[in-house]
Amino acid sequence: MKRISFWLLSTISGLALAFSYYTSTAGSVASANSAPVGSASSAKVDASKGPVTTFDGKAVPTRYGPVQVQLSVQAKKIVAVKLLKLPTGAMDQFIAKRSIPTLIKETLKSQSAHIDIVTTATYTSDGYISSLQSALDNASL
Amino acid sequence: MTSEQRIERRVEHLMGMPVNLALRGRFANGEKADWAWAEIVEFLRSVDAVFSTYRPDSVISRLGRGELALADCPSEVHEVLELGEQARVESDGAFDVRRSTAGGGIQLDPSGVVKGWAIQRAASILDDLADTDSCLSGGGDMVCRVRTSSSPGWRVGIEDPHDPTRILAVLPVHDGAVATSGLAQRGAHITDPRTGDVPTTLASVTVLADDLTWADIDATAAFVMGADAAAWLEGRGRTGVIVPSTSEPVMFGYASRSE
Repeated sequence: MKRISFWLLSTISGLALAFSYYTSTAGSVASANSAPVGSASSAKVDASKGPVTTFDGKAVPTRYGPVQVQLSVQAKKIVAVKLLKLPTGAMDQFIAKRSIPTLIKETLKSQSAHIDIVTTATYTSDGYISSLQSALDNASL
Repeated sequence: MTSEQRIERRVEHLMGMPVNLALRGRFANGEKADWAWAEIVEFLRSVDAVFSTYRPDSVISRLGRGELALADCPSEVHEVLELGEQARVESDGAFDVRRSTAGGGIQLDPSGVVKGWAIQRAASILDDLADTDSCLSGGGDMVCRVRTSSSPGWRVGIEDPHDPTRILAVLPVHDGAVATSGLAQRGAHITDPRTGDVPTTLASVTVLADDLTWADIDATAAFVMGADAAAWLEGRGRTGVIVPSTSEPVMFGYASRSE
């Protein structure tokens, strides 16, 4: 049986409001765009919530070079995503600056909104996503 | 509470895109899940061998160069080209698997049909996992199924094409497909087959449908149509969100609907 059952939970503007709340509580994430390549993008880490464990994704070869990410997990939540390996070169810098920090923010943000999956125009950052996914798998979230 | 059930995720690079499988429920992991995933991967690899326009030895490349007659192609090629032709007619040419090349020739590129069609077909392999919710996605388009009782469905976030760090809306999808077309992630990879121009009116189109083959085709066709997209999609009974390049997002179809 193929029936779709769904609800647009709220109006788009309502959701935009919900997300602006998130943005205001995670200032360090919002600044990820200007962070140097390879630095961690982290939400607030509250030490009282227990130990932070890190999980490395496998290094994934891409046509631009290897990409590898590391997740920091605290109390079953992703609190930081760090790029361990990035390709070098002009094209790679472009990709690193444009796609990768964006995707990091998306990861943190998606989690906060309890989203299982994101629909988007077709990805190019294959290596990043694959590595991120493998880190997620290792973290067993 | 099923919403707290753990989601098991797998990923593989197939057909030039990351393919993700998310499972939750009875057979979310273990031998059955491994088997289903292996079948999906094998199927998508076989689709790539037939349809890839990047592989000179693929059936579609050989057909395009005239080295192979259509009559000698496997039935899947006929099926995909027929879908492409149906889409061309129904979209008034906004969708077309054939496009003119600079040299005056005609290039055959059924990729716009193949991606959704292949993921939709691959998802049927998951029918064997009883009492297990699944979401199979390829490069941002997905087929969602719910097979556990009192499941909350899959929560699909629609990315803001102007700011990929933002989610515009959340669609809880039980059984159905979601596809998004736009230029945000891959640059100018969509052109109007009638003019060769890159469409600029819309930033993205997200379509929900029963089946990913048509969700994906319709999203691409509507993206090319620009200002006419919402009326065309509503006429086809689709639901989703259109994000224009310079104005506020609009929802089309039913803003809320349940069975």
